[in-house]
Amino acid sequence: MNNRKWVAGCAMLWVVPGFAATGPEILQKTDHAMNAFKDGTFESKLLVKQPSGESREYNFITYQKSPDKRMVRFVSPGDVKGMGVLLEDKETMYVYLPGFQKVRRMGTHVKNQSFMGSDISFEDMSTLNFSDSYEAKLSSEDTIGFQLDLTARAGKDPEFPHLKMWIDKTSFHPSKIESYDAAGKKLKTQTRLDYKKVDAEHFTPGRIIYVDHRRNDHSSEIIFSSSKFDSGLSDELFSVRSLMRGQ
Amino acid sequence: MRHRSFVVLLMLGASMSARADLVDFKFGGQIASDIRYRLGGATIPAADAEAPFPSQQRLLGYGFSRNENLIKAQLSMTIADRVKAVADVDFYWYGYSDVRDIDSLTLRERVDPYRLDADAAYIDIYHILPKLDLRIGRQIVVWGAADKFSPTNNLNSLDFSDPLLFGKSIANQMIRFDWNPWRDLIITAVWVPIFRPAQLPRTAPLAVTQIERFAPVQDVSFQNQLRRFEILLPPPGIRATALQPDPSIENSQIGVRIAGRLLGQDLSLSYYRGRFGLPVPAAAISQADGTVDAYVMWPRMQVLGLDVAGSIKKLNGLGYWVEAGLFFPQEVTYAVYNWIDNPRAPAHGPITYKYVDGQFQSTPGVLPENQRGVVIPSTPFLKLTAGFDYSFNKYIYGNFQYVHGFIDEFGAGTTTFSRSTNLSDPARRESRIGEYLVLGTDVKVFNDALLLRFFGAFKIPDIGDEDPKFTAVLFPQAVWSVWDATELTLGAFVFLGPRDSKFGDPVAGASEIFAKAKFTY
Repeated sequence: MNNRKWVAGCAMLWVVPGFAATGPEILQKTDHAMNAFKDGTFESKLLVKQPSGESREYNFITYQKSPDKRMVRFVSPGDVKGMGVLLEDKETMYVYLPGFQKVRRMGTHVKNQSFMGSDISFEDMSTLNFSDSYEAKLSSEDTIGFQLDLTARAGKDPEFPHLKMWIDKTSFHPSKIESYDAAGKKLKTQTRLDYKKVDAEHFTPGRIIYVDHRRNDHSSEIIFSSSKFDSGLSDELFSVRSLMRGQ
Repeated sequence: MRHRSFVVLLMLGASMSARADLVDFKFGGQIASDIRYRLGGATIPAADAEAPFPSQQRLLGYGFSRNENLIKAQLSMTIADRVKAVADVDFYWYGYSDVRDIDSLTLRERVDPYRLDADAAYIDIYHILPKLDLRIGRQIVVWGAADKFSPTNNLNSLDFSDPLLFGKSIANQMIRFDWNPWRDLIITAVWVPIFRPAQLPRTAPLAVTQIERFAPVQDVSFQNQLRRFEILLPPPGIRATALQPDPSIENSQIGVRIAGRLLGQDLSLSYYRGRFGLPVPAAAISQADGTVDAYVMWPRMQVLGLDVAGSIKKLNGLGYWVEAGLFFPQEVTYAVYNWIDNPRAPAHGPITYKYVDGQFQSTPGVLPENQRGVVIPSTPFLKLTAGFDYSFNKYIYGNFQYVHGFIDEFGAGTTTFSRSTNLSDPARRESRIGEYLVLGTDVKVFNDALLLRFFGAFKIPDIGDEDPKFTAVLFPQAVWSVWDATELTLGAFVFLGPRDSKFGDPVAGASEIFAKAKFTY
């Protein structure tokens, strides 16, 4: 209920003539829109493009609970089935490998590793809130949305020091994120498409396409087949014990 | 009446099918092929000896050492997030035939031998009491934070039959409780009713049955006495017998572990009471015909364990782990029954014996103490693994471990390792617990389709070793991920070092090249 009031209040601000939203405010609202649920369950398919033009397919379920908890369970193909990844917060990550029947604590160095050979890094997966890591500046605005320039905050060390983000005015979800290195070279582009309004508060993208320009524009795509919000996921689901159970 | 019974049955059937709707079935597994070729190892048994049964146990100096095919089936059934039943069965075809007579040619199990393994056959009951889970049945319990070289991981003995696995846990029947009273704190208690020994590599019997290897006692003068005797009167043969622990309550194993998080780092303390999975020599009895019956047993031990793991933010998220086990072993002595040196010892006929608290004893007790040497002293000793890993970029991953105490090492102090081909060679003493550097690296290329993996374990010579030997194992492999869930692997496992070194000893095994294919469903 409080969330709903907050969203409604913010929405009012945008329609007040003469009101100029700042970059940080827009980014905060985006963060809020992207996390405007207590918990979420997303069934997804990851398609990793191969040089032959065909795609490898991975199916997984992501459980998410505010603010930072995330559990990813792989459903197929067989070589990753049963594998689980638990992100308790930005610094605490565990992987369960069924072949070893062991939960292993991972150093955060793996965040820059690609996820299943795709163009998605663990950092991409664990970033749920941009305001924490970036300072935002409004770069441009039109009738459709805003464009923000994000720069890594002092003391923060995200994978990409600089981002450009395009935000839709209706949903306050990003439609595109470009990632740059410190020298300004574009490294990655993330495009979020086919947004659906799940309920009064929630939008969810139907697809996210990642293009890694460092890998000759190699691309991967996540297709969301279902999204469920606020179903009351327990804290216990986001625990090492649950990860080890494999359910 | 009959009609009423029918209705009751119908209702029962309906309710049962309703329960079946709650069951979440998951099925998976693997089909794999593994062929290996041995390069320059010891021929086992010796070329002039009779081939053992089954014939795949025969190892040639140069020849195929493995030709396996695997079908793995994994099934899990979950009911309402409260109960989960898991089965994980491996069905192997050896790929060798055992046809030594015309009768065996009529039997499929001799023409095409196979074996069955089960890594899991257990039932989980979640929240059997508040915050308490129960797992009962055949299972593997993995403790410790280190990679592979975990001194606190002792509940399951290891399978050393495949050097490529560096000791895979063998499942055993256990009862395990996990209690999660508060946040990340998990207290685990495990009871293993019946001890299961480690599976040894096919080359292991050489350590006991080779005549040129001297007795493994710690005391130098006693050992020299035995060596002189073996040189003067070499036995025509040595037979090795294992003294398996009785399935008594005294021989069951227990483990308790408390795991949690402190200042963002994972921390656990553990205690284990049971046995070391590898056998040690316990007795030798010279028979009237000159042959020797050697006996091996599994020493009792208690282990206090500590492990810490985490990530160091200031070092770009470097992952690290430290794991230590303080071992309290049972003293094991080596009893020598020799009717020439000891006229009171029984010379003929069967000896009746009993095995009590690490001591092999004859009946009646006729063995003088000067013929009992220490094999494993009761002195506590430490095994420790400390390591870190790091992803240098998207393509290169590195893993480094310092290992104090390899997976097969046990006991305090130094001992004379019996690796020479000649009994009159000077004895070489080394620490029972050795020091090793273990390095691993993964390089991913072609969009992760090809993984180049290198692994090496290098023994660090003892401090003060006047004749240090370079010895190591190298394990390079190339894994090609052909398509979803399909892998082809080419590689080698190379033992380096002279014969009287840790990895150059033929007991450790021989170098192999291998090709594998795997499809996982």
